[in-house]
Amino acid sequence: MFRSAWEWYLQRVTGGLLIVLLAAHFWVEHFMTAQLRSGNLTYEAILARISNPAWQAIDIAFLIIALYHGLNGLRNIILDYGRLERRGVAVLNIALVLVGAVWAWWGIMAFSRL
Amino acid sequence: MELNITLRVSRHPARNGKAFDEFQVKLEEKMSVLDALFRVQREQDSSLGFRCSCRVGMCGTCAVYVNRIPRLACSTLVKSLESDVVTIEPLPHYPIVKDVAVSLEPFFEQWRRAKPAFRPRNPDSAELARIPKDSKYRLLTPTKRDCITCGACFAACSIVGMNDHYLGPAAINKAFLRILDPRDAAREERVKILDRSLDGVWRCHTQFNCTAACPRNIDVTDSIVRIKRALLWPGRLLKP
Amino acid sequence: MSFEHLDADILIFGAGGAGLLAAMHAHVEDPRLKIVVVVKGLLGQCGCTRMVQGGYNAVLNSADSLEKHFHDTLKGGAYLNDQELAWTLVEDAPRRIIELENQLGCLFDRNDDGTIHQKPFAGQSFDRTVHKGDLTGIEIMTNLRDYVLEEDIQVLEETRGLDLLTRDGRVVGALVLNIRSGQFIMVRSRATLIATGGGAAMYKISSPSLEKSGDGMAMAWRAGADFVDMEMVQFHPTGLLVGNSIATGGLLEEGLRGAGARLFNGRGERFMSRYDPERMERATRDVISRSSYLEIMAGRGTEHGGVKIDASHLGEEFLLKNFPGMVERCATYGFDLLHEPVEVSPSAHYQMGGIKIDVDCHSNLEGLFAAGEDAGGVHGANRLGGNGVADSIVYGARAGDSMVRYLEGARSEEPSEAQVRDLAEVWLRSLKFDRGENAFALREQLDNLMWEKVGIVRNQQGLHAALDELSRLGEQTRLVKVSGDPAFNLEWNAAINLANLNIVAEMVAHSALYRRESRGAHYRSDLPQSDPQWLKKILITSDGNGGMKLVTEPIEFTRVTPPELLHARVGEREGS
Repeated sequence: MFRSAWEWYLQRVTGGLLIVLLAAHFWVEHFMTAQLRSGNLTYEAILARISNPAWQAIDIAFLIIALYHGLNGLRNIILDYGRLERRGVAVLNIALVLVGAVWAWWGIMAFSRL
Repeated sequence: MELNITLRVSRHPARNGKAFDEFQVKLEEKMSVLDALFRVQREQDSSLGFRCSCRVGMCGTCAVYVNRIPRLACSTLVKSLESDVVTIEPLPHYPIVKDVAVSLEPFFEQWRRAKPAFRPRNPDSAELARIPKDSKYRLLTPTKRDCITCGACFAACSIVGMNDHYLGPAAINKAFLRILDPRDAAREERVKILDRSLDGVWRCHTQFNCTAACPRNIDVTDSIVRIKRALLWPGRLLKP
Repeated sequence: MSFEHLDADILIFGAGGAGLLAAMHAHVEDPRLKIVVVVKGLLGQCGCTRMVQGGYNAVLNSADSLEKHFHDTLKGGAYLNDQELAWTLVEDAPRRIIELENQLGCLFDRNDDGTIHQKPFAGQSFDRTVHKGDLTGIEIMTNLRDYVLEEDIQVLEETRGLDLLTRDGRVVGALVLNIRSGQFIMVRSRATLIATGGGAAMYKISSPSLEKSGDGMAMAWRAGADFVDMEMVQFHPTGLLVGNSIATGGLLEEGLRGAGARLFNGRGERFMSRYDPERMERATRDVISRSSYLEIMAGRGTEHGGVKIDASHLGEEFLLKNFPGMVERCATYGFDLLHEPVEVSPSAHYQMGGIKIDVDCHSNLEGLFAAGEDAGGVHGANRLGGNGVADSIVYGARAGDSMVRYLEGARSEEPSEAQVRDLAEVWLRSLKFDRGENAFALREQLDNLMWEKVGIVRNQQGLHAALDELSRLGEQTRLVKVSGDPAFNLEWNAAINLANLNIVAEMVAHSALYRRESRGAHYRSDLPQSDPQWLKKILITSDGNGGMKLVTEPIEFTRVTPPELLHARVGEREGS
């Protein structure tokens, strides 16, 4: 597969995953928790869930998928407008990778403070 | 019954401070938009600037905006527009030469970047290549090779409108034809050009404007989508 | 007055099949040469190669032979052809088809087994017309244009030749006009090719692209070139009749008749049975056009003064598969080729005559070459369908090769600035008049005059009258007034077209009056028979004062003796 084709493909795959993950996220955060339903939401209940390694894996994947989709989407919009030359695109790529990396690191580090 | 239509023609540079001139033209049954322009030129205003050559839809030089849709002036009957006022403007996305005649230079700049010329595998062969009946080139390209480079798709494409780098529909269709051609030797190079993120096929939003605008009814979007698919699964299209 | 200056090794006027093949061949032969192509419209999108529908005749099948193609060509041309030119056409045609495919990337239609498909055309003893559907010209010109775009060949678009520059009988360059900017360009060139196409557009109903106006022929004439066969103008039998539309005269291709389409007059009679019962609708173009014209003149035409072509019995499926372009073209103007007869008329199509050349495209002027429709002699008195684009491609290529060979010994000479200034002054005159004649009106007069008096059927009285009219039109043309400035001034260009067409028209009329017989496309109602005595060329040369001098020139029957001469000889022997 070719490079830009990969980028395009991943955008579609992450888009598809985001539909599932967002729905799940929304459901879990707002409806699923037993305490929530009983009107008795506590810090401990939330902590218990986000300390679960399986939940952590899902959240980290969610983060990375959302970051790729969002940042690549931003890049697509910028490229569509065609204001950048080749060098500009290279700078943009680096900038977006950096933003993504810092953001992902920041998100992942949040779990380490638990 | 005698029917007149109003021809609103865009003027560039503006004449007497007006960006449009209006002419009354007697409507005739088989009158094309090009006929109407000729009528004005001969009877009312000889300074009108427009372009045509073959006048039967083969040369692709008379494309103009007719009521905001890119069309070949020679192949559009005025009657079919079902409008008392026919507005003729130059195609968008091109520099204007005079009135409704544009320079197709931006179109051909992209066309050139798509490497349109054939790169023969067997330039010295004294035989005509055998192209089997089930060859993809034979099956998929006959109508697509009828592109007359009129520039209508380039005018209709919204991505072209905002992105000066984008190769545009016709140039991609051209590259598609060469890529499919079993006699062409530059497939790798062509594919790489089309995969470029800045100006290649991935900028296309599949809006079908090019297909809708093509006066030769070429499904240009189909060519672009096939290229995208081929870039994703090279085996499907690019196997000789 | 200011000029741009440009230097070229090879200067080519015209960018149809002939012009671009010449550019390609010269460039391949010697890539260091500076080649400049001057094209009146957009590159690859003007001229008549682009408009080719039917196709290209070439011998590619072992059951066919060069001899057959050659004989068909001579027979079609009523043996007036220059036999060496015709033989060269036939011999080179297959090579050039292979070049168009294997080097330029054209793909012509194939049979189911993958081999080349060749379709039937009129006047051929074998189905040998190579084609891409029914819009072959697009395939050829697109690929040629793509080649030129990527090579180091300079193309001046929307630029036209005005006059050749000469020095001691040698062509040393040209005065050229950039239509867009209105700027004159003085081009110095070592070899110059005329490949702009002819002047068939000077007839009321005609098929060529609109910008064609015999520019090349007129320029060559003014520079002192010799012309042959100028009385021979081909009328294509099936030009569409679309009311007052400019589309009138646009063609329905010959392959339709080849496939079995029939012609009917206004009364519904299949009139070809009266004129050529054996070949019927597959008779050559001259015969069918004349037959249709005679029907129309006899009052048996259709409502709009034409005849009808009916292809409906061939079936929807067959027509859509083989003639989609023709079906679509008819549909554009509201005609239904699939199910109904469509009104057509003979349409002025092609000039068999032109600049006199040899097989290497040399004209009589040093440094000047001609190829394609501008050159005369290949097709004799009538051209076969499918031989036209073959001629352009074959002789274009030969001109390219020939010019490169010529350049080995040719020096470059500086054109005279004074000559350029004088010539430009003449062309600028119409822009300076306060009042004068209208170019569009005069053009209409010319088109009508040629159609009525120098058209499909001619006679002495009409031709005399036409020559008088033409000289009057010539006078009036000099008094044309054009408004506006020189940049992209279509009226000014119409005036220049008119001046050039007048010259070509005069050559045709003079030559038609001179040939006292009927032969091929040239039909004299006062002299309706062919006369073996007239198996000779009419040569037009300059009389030294800008006038035309007509002389006959024998044809060398180097390969085949015409049957009528054989019969005549037998007759002589029997009589003695």
